[in-house]
Amino acid sequence: MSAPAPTPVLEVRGLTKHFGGVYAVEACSFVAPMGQVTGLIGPNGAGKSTAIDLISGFKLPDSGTVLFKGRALEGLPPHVISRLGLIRTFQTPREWPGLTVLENVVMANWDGGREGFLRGLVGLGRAQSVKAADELAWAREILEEFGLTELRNERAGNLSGGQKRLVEFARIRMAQPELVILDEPMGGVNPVLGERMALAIEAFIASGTSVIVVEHNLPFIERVTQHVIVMAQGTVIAEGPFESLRSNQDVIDAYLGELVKQ
Amino acid sequence: MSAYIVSILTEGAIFGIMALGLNVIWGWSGDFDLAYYGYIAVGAYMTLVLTIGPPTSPAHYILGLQLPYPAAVVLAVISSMAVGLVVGLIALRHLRGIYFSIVTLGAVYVMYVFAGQYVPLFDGYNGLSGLFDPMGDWFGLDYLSYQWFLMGLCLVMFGLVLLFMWRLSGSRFGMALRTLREDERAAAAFGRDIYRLKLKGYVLGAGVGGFAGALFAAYLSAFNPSAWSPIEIIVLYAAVLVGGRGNIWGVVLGVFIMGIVVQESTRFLPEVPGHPQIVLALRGVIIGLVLVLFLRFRPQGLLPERRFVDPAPKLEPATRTA
Amino acid sequence: MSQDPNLPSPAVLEVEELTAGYGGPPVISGVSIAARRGFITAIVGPNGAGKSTLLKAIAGLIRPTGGVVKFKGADVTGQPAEKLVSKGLAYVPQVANVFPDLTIRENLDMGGYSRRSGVRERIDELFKLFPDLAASSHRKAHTLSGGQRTMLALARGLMVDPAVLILDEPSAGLAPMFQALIWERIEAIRATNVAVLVIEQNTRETLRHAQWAYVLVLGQNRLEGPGKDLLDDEEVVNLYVGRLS
Repeated sequence: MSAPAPTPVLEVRGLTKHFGGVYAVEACSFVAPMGQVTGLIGPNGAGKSTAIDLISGFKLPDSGTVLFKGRALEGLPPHVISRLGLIRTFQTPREWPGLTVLENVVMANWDGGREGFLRGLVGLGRAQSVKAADELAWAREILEEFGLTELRNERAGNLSGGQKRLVEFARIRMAQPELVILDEPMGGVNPVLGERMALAIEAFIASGTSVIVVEHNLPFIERVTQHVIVMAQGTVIAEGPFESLRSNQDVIDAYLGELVKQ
Repeated sequence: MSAYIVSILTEGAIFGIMALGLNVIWGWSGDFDLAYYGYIAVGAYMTLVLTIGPPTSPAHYILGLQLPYPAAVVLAVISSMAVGLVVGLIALRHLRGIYFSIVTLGAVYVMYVFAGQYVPLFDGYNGLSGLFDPMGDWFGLDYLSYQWFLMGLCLVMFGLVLLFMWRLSGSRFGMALRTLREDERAAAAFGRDIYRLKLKGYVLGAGVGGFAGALFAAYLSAFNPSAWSPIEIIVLYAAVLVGGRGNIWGVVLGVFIMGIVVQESTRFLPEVPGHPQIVLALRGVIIGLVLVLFLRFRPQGLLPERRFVDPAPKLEPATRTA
Repeated sequence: MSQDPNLPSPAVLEVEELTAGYGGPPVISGVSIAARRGFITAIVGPNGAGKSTLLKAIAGLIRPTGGVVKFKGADVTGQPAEKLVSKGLAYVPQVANVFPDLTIRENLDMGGYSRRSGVRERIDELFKLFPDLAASSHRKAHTLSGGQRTMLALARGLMVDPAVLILDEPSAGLAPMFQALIWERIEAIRATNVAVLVIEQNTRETLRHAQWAYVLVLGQNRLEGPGKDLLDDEEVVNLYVGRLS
C-alpha cells in the first residue's frame, strides 16, 4: 500500500466572485503542493489578483472553499489568516515608508504577547526581553542575507522599487509563514534583480515556506517554479510544469486571444 | 511669580495633555479626528455634574452629585472613553481619510448642539459652574495659594501623561499603531487586527482628552458651549503639526510654541479703536498662517518622529592577506 | 520605422527613439513607430511591454525623457494632452472615458469643447456613424451598457475631427461578443481617413484588423509588419509564451 499523498499547502475549490454582473473569478479550483514553488499565470483580467484577495481574506468569495493545510479559510479576516501562517504581498511594494528598513523587518513578526497596550506601559518581562533581543539579532542577520545592512537605518520610503521588494522579502523571511503568495514581485523591478529574487525564493523553500508566485514575467516563472497554474477568464484552464504549458494550445490561445467569429 | 505666569503654566500643562492625547490618534494611528474636542468637553462636563451638587432652579442638569474631585475625574475619563468608543466603532469600521474626518466632525457637532440645546443635560447654553478650588479644602488653602496648587497639580499630571506616552511611544504597541498609519493593508497582511488596534488607540486618546477636560473644568471652575467651539481643535492640530507629529517631545515643543504664538503675538498687534474683536480675529489669521506654512514647507514638524537607529556593529579584526 | 514601399504619403504621426517612464527606470526605451491616415496601426506585445505607456507618452499624458514625436510633420514632443487635442491628436483612455452624469449629447458637446465651430454638425455626422448613440442621445452615460459607453468614448474622441485617434484597449472589460462590434466601428472610423493607433488585449484579433503592427517586448521594438503576416508568425507566439530567442 502506497503512502497517502501529503496534504497540499493550499487547496482552492470552486472559488467564485463577481462584481456587478462580471465574474472576476468563476469556479476556480487548484492545488498548490507543500514545499514547492507554484506559479500562477494568465493574461490581464484573468482574475489572478482577485483570487489572491479571496484566498488571503482581503475580499469575501461568493462561493467556494479555500483550504490551507486542510483548514477552511473562507470568511476569516486577513489578519487571522496571516496569523495562521499565510502571508501575501501586493502588486505594488507595500513597505511601511516612515519606518526604517530594520523596523520594517522587526515589525513583520506579529507577537500578540508583546503588542498589547498594557504591555506597552508596564514593559516586557524578562523572557519577553530576551525574545525581543533575539528578534533584533535575527532581523540583522536577515538584512545581511539580503544585502540590506547598509540601508538598515534608512527610511523604507526612500528606497528604490527593487530595494523595497527586497525589504518585503526580508519581512517574509522574518515572519516565516508556511505559505507566501507573491503578487507580481518582479513588477517595476529592474530585470537584473531577477536572479536575486529567484535565490530568495529558493531560500524560502529551504526554510520551510511554500511559495505561490503570480507573474507576467514568464522567463522568471520558468526559472523558479516546479508547477504552474494558468488562469484565464476567471478560471483555471491548464496546469503542469511550465515547459509543457508552452505548447499547450489553450494557454497560447489565452495569451494571444481567439479570433472572433465574423 | 506673577499670577499671569501661574495661569500660563497651568493652561500650558492642560493644553499639553490635550495635545498628547491627540498625538495618539493622529500622530501614531494617522487618523485626522475632528471629534477630539468633544471628548475634552465630555470630561469637563462630567467632572462638573459629579462635583457641584444638585441643581438649584432654574438650572437643569443630570446627576448633580458631590463626589470628591479625584473620583469625579476617574468617572469623567471613563465617560469620555465611552463616548469615544461609540464614535470609533462607527467611524473606524470602514472609513478612512477625508470620509473619516467628516464623520467625526459630524459627531462632534451633534455633541455640541446636543449639549447646547438639550437643557436637561448640562443646562444648555448657560453651562455649569461652581467647581471652586477642588481639593483646596483638604489642605486648607486660600484662593491665592490654591492657584499655585492647581498649577503644581496640572504640571505633575502633565508629567505623568508624558511618562505614560513615552513608554507607549517606544513600545511595540506604539510601533504597531504606526504600521497602521504607514500602510494598514500591509499591517493586516502581517497579522494586525486593524479595526481593534485603531479602536484601542482612539479610545485611549479620547480618555486622555477627557482627563484634560477634567483638569480644565477645575481651572475654569465652569464650562459651557462657548468654551469649546469645535474650531478650537485647529489650535491643537497646529501644536502637534508644528512641534512634530508622532514625536512626544515635538508635541511638547509645539504646545510651547503655539502657546507663545497665541498669547504673545496679539500683544504686539495694534489695537484698533472701536474694533475690540480684531485682536481675536488676527489671532486666528496668525494660527492659520502658521499651519499653512508648516504644511507646505515642514509637514514633519520641528522635531520629526524619531526612528530607532541601529548602532554600527563592532568591527571584526581584519584578516591579514599575504 | 515602417518602410513598406507600397505606402503613399508621409506618416501623419512619427515617433522616433521614444523613452519614457513613471519616475523610476524607463518603461519604454528607444521605441519608434509610425501611423498613417486611413490605416489601423496596432501595438501588440506581452504584458509589461510598455504598450500603454507608449500611447500615453505620445498623447501627452506623460512626458517622455528622450526621443521625438512628430505630428503632421511638426515636433510636438512633450506637449501636454490638451494642446495635442486641439491640434487633432485624440486619445481615448481605457477607463473613465465618459462623463457618467452627462447625457450622450452633452458628452459629445464636451468632446467638442476645443472646436471653434461646427459642434452641432459634427455631432450629427457622428450620429450617422454611431446610430445606437443617436437613438439614446438624451440618456445619461452611466445608464449605458459597457459597449455603448465605449462607443460614446470613441465618438467623443472623434468630436475634434482628429487626424490621429489613439485607442487604449477599447474593448477592455467588455464581454467577448462586443469585440466584433468594436472592431466594426474602428474599421468605419478608419474609412473616414483617420489614422487609428490601437492596443488591445486580444492580440490575434488585433493583428487580423491592423494594416501595420509593431510588436513590443520589455519596452523595445521587436518585430513589425503587416498585421496579417504577423498573425501567422511563429516568433510572435514564442515571444508571448516566454521562449527566449
